[in-house]
Amino acid sequence: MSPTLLSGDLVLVCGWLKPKVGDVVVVNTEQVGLVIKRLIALDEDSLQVAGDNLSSDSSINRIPLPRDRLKGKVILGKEQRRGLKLIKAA
Amino acid sequence: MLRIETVQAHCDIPCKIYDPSLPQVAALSVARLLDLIQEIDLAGGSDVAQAAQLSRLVSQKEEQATIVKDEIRIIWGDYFKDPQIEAFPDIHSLVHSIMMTASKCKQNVDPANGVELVSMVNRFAEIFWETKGIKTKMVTAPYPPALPVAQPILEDA
Repeated sequence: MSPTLLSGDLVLVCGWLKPKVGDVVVVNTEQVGLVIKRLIALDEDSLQVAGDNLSSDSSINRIPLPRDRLKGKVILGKEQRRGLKLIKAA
Repeated sequence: MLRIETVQAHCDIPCKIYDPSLPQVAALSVARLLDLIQEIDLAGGSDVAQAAQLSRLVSQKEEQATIVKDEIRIIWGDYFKDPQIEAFPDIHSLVHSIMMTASKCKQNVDPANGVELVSMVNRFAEIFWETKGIKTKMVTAPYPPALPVAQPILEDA
Protein backbone atom coordinates (compact mmCIF):
# COMPACT_ATOMS: atom_id res chain seq x y z
CA MET A 1 0.00 0.00 0.00
CA SER A 2 3.03 2.24 -0.32
CA PRO A 3 3.15 5.23 -0.50
CA THR A 4 -0.24 5.66 1.28
CA LEU A 5 0.69 3.33 4.12
CA LEU A 6 3.98 1.83 5.20
CA SER A 7 4.77 -1.19 7.33
CA GLY A 8 4.18 -0.40 11.00
CA ASP A 9 1.68 2.42 10.46
CA LEU A 10 -1.30 2.52 12.80
CA VAL A 11 -4.73 2.95 11.22
CA LEU A 12 -8.18 3.58 12.60
CA VAL A 13 -10.80 1.37 10.97
CA CYS A 14 -14.46 2.26 11.16
CA GLY A 15 -16.93 -0.60 10.75
CA TRP A 16 -20.11 1.43 10.58
CA LEU A 17 -19.25 3.93 7.83
CA LYS A 18 -20.38 2.80 4.38
CA PRO A 19 -17.29 2.38 2.18
CA LYS A 20 -17.29 3.47 -1.43
CA VAL A 21 -15.00 2.67 -4.32
CA GLY A 22 -11.71 4.49 -3.83
CA ASP A 23 -11.67 4.11 -0.04
CA VAL A 24 -8.97 2.23 1.81
CA VAL A 25 -10.59 -0.73 3.54
CA VAL A 26 -9.79 -3.79 5.61
CA VAL A 27 -11.05 -7.14 4.35
CA ASN A 28 -10.82 -10.54 5.97
CA THR A 29 -9.58 -12.92 3.27
CA GLU A 30 -9.56 -16.70 3.37
CA GLN A 31 -6.10 -16.71 1.83
CA VAL A 32 -4.13 -14.37 4.07
CA GLY A 33 -6.46 -13.12 6.81
CA LEU A 34 -6.92 -9.41 7.49
CA VAL A 35 -5.68 -7.30 4.60
CA ILE A 36 -5.65 -3.56 3.99
CA LYS A 37 -6.19 -2.47 0.38
CA ARG A 38 -7.99 0.09 -1.72
CA LEU A 39 -11.54 -0.74 -2.78
CA ILE A 40 -11.77 -0.77 -6.59
CA ALA A 41 -15.17 -2.39 -7.14
CA LEU A 42 -18.23 -2.92 -4.97
CA ASP A 43 -21.70 -4.28 -5.59
CA GLU A 44 -24.39 -5.95 -3.50
CA ASP A 45 -22.63 -9.30 -3.36
CA SER A 46 -18.94 -8.80 -3.97
CA LEU A 47 -16.00 -6.46 -3.87
CA GLN A 48 -12.53 -6.19 -5.37
CA VAL A 49 -9.43 -4.57 -3.96
CA ALA A 50 -6.00 -3.51 -5.18
CA GLY A 51 -2.84 -2.03 -3.70
CA ASP A 52 -1.63 1.54 -4.20
CA ASN A 53 1.91 0.42 -5.00
CA LEU A 54 1.98 0.01 -8.76
CA SER A 55 5.26 -1.90 -8.67
CA SER A 56 3.87 -4.71 -6.57
CA ASP A 57 1.00 -7.14 -6.88
CA SER A 58 -0.95 -9.51 -4.69
CA SER A 59 -2.80 -12.73 -5.40
CA ILE A 60 -5.92 -11.21 -3.82
CA ASN A 61 -5.86 -8.08 -6.01
CA ARG A 62 -8.70 -7.77 -8.51
CA ILE A 63 -10.24 -11.06 -7.37
CA PRO A 64 -13.97 -10.92 -6.53
CA LEU A 65 -14.42 -11.43 -2.78
CA PRO A 66 -17.72 -11.88 -0.92
CA ARG A 67 -19.06 -8.56 0.32
CA ASP A 68 -19.36 -9.86 3.87
CA ARG A 69 -15.56 -10.05 3.96
CA LEU A 70 -15.44 -6.27 4.25
CA LYS A 71 -14.57 -5.33 7.83
CA GLY A 72 -14.45 -1.57 7.66
CA LYS A 73 -13.20 1.65 6.16
CA VAL A 74 -9.86 3.14 7.12
CA ILE A 75 -10.32 6.74 8.15
CA LEU A 76 -7.17 7.73 9.96
CA GLY A 77 -3.55 6.67 9.81
CA LYS A 78 -0.57 7.38 12.02
CA GLU A 79 2.74 7.21 10.23
CA GLN A 80 5.77 5.94 12.10
CA ARG A 81 7.85 9.08 11.69
CA ARG A 82 5.21 11.72 11.24
CA GLY A 83 1.85 12.53 12.69
CA LEU A 84 -1.73 11.66 12.04
CA LYS A 85 -3.15 11.88 8.56
CA LEU A 86 -6.53 11.34 7.02
CA ILE A 87 -6.67 8.39 4.63
CA LYS A 88 -8.36 9.90 1.60
CA ALA A 89 -10.38 8.22 -1.08
CA ALA A 90 -8.54 7.85 -4.41
CA MET B 1 -14.37 -0.38 22.14
CA LEU B 2 -11.03 -0.07 20.38
CA ARG B 3 -9.24 -3.26 19.42
CA ILE B 4 -5.77 -3.24 17.88
CA GLU B 5 -5.16 -5.98 15.33
CA THR B 6 -2.47 -6.47 12.72
CA VAL B 7 -3.47 -6.30 9.06
CA GLN B 8 -1.27 -6.99 6.07
CA ALA B 9 -0.90 -4.92 2.94
CA HIS B 10 0.08 -8.27 1.38
CA CYS B 11 2.07 -8.49 -1.80
CA ASP B 12 3.60 -11.53 -3.41
CA ILE B 13 7.36 -11.78 -3.51
CA PRO B 14 9.07 -11.24 -5.87
CA CYS B 15 6.73 -8.39 -6.69
CA LYS B 16 5.30 -8.72 -10.19
CA ILE B 17 8.31 -10.71 -11.40
CA TYR B 18 6.87 -13.65 -13.27
CA ASP B 19 8.85 -15.38 -16.00
CA PRO B 20 8.03 -18.63 -17.79
CA SER B 21 11.70 -19.28 -18.54
CA LEU B 22 11.93 -21.17 -15.22
CA PRO B 23 9.36 -23.85 -16.15
CA GLN B 24 10.75 -23.89 -19.70
CA VAL B 25 14.22 -24.85 -18.47
CA ALA B 26 12.70 -27.40 -16.10
CA ALA B 27 10.65 -28.93 -18.95
CA LEU B 28 13.78 -29.16 -21.11
CA SER B 29 15.53 -30.87 -18.20
CA VAL B 30 12.72 -33.42 -17.97
CA ALA B 31 13.04 -34.15 -21.70
CA ARG B 32 16.81 -34.53 -21.39
CA LEU B 33 16.53 -36.79 -18.34
CA LEU B 34 14.04 -39.02 -20.16
CA ASP B 35 16.56 -39.37 -23.00
CA LEU B 36 19.36 -40.21 -20.57
CA ILE B 37 17.17 -42.84 -18.89
CA GLN B 38 16.50 -44.38 -22.30
CA GLU B 39 20.23 -44.51 -23.00
CA ILE B 40 20.81 -46.46 -19.80
CA ASP B 41 17.97 -48.80 -20.69
CA LEU B 42 19.33 -49.37 -24.20
CA ALA B 43 22.76 -50.14 -22.79
CA GLY B 44 21.16 -52.92 -20.76
CA GLY B 45 22.44 -51.46 -17.52
CA SER B 46 22.60 -53.92 -14.68
CA ASP B 47 25.64 -53.13 -12.61
CA VAL B 48 25.58 -51.08 -9.42
CA ALA B 49 27.01 -47.93 -10.99
CA GLN B 50 24.32 -47.88 -13.66
CA ALA B 51 21.63 -48.60 -11.08
CA ALA B 52 22.85 -45.66 -9.03
CA GLN B 53 22.91 -43.45 -12.10
CA LEU B 54 19.40 -44.50 -13.04
CA SER B 55 18.20 -43.75 -9.54
CA ARG B 56 19.72 -40.29 -9.74
CA LEU B 57 18.19 -39.58 -13.15
CA VAL B 58 14.73 -40.66 -12.00
CA SER B 59 15.03 -38.53 -8.87
CA GLN B 60 16.03 -35.49 -10.91
CA LYS B 61 13.21 -36.13 -13.38
CA GLU B 62 10.73 -36.08 -10.50
CA GLU B 63 12.20 -32.85 -9.17
CA GLN B 64 12.24 -31.02 -12.50
CA ALA B 65 8.69 -32.11 -13.39
CA THR B 66 7.57 -30.80 -9.99
CA ILE B 67 9.27 -27.46 -10.73
CA VAL B 68 7.33 -27.27 -14.01
CA LYS B 69 4.06 -27.85 -12.20
CA ASP B 70 4.79 -25.43 -9.36
CA GLU B 71 6.04 -22.59 -11.56
CA ILE B 72 3.20 -22.87 -14.07
CA ARG B 73 0.64 -22.95 -11.26
CA ILE B 74 2.11 -19.84 -9.66
CA ILE B 75 2.10 -17.81 -12.89
CA TRP B 76 -1.38 -19.04 -13.79
CA GLY B 77 -2.79 -18.52 -10.30
CA ASP B 78 -1.13 -15.23 -9.39
CA TYR B 79 -0.42 -13.41 -12.66
CA PHE B 80 -3.39 -14.37 -14.85
CA LYS B 81 -6.41 -12.29 -13.94
CA ASP B 82 -9.65 -11.38 -15.73
CA PRO B 83 -8.09 -9.35 -18.60
CA GLN B 84 -5.54 -12.06 -19.44
CA ILE B 85 -8.08 -14.87 -19.08
CA GLU B 86 -10.60 -13.05 -21.29
CA ALA B 87 -7.90 -12.63 -23.95
CA PHE B 88 -6.80 -16.28 -23.65
CA PRO B 89 -9.77 -18.34 -22.43
CA ASP B 90 -7.97 -21.59 -23.29
CA ILE B 91 -5.32 -20.91 -20.64
CA HIS B 92 -7.13 -23.05 -18.05
CA SER B 93 -7.24 -26.14 -20.26
CA LEU B 94 -3.61 -25.57 -21.32
CA VAL B 95 -2.47 -25.38 -17.70
CA HIS B 96 -4.43 -28.51 -16.86
CA SER B 97 -2.84 -30.32 -19.82
CA ILE B 98 0.61 -29.24 -18.59
CA MET B 99 -0.19 -30.67 -15.14
CA MET B 100 -1.31 -33.97 -16.68
CA THR B 101 1.67 -34.23 -19.02
CA ALA B 102 4.15 -33.38 -16.27
CA SER B 103 2.56 -36.18 -14.22
CA LYS B 104 2.96 -38.57 -17.17
CA CYS B 105 6.64 -37.64 -17.27
CA LYS B 106 6.87 -38.58 -13.59
CA GLN B 107 4.93 -41.83 -14.00
CA ASN B 108 6.81 -43.35 -16.93
CA VAL B 109 9.90 -42.98 -19.09
CA ASP B 110 8.50 -42.29 -22.56
CA PRO B 111 10.65 -39.51 -24.12
CA ALA B 112 7.67 -38.39 -26.22
CA ASN B 113 6.02 -37.07 -23.05
CA GLY B 114 9.02 -34.86 -22.39
CA VAL B 115 8.87 -33.40 -25.89
CA GLU B 116 5.14 -32.78 -25.48
CA LEU B 117 5.73 -31.10 -22.12
CA VAL B 118 8.29 -28.71 -23.62
CA SER B 119 5.89 -27.89 -26.44
CA MET B 120 3.03 -27.11 -24.04
CA VAL B 121 5.17 -24.97 -21.77
CA ASN B 122 6.37 -23.11 -24.87
CA ARG B 123 2.77 -22.34 -25.72
CA PHE B 124 2.20 -21.13 -22.17
CA ALA B 125 5.26 -18.87 -22.51
CA GLU B 126 4.00 -17.48 -25.82
CA ILE B 127 0.65 -16.61 -24.24
CA PHE B 128 2.32 -15.11 -21.16
CA TRP B 129 4.51 -12.78 -23.24
CA GLU B 130 1.61 -11.90 -25.54
CA THR B 131 -0.40 -10.70 -22.51
CA LYS B 132 2.44 -8.22 -21.97
CA GLY B 133 2.48 -7.17 -25.63
CA ILE B 134 5.85 -8.84 -26.18
CA LYS B 135 6.41 -10.93 -29.29
CA THR B 136 8.19 -14.26 -29.12
CA LYS B 137 10.33 -16.30 -31.48
CA MET B 138 11.16 -19.99 -31.59
CA VAL B 139 14.83 -20.82 -31.18
CA THR B 140 16.61 -24.14 -30.81
CA ALA B 141 17.93 -24.82 -27.32
CA PRO B 142 21.75 -24.75 -27.55
CA TYR B 143 22.07 -27.94 -25.49
CA PRO B 144 20.64 -31.46 -25.68
CA PRO B 145 17.88 -32.32 -26.44
CA ALA B 146 18.04 -29.23 -28.73
CA LEU B 147 14.28 -28.78 -28.77
CA PRO B 148 12.51 -25.63 -29.97
CA VAL B 149 12.05 -23.00 -27.23
CA ALA B 150 9.81 -19.92 -27.27
CA GLN B 151 11.74 -16.83 -26.25
CA PRO B 152 10.58 -13.21 -25.82
CA ILE B 153 11.94 -10.63 -28.23
CA LEU B 154 13.12 -8.01 -25.75
CA GLU B 155 14.44 -4.53 -26.37
CA ASP B 156 18.09 -3.67 -25.79
CA ALA B 157 18.84 -2.05 -22.41
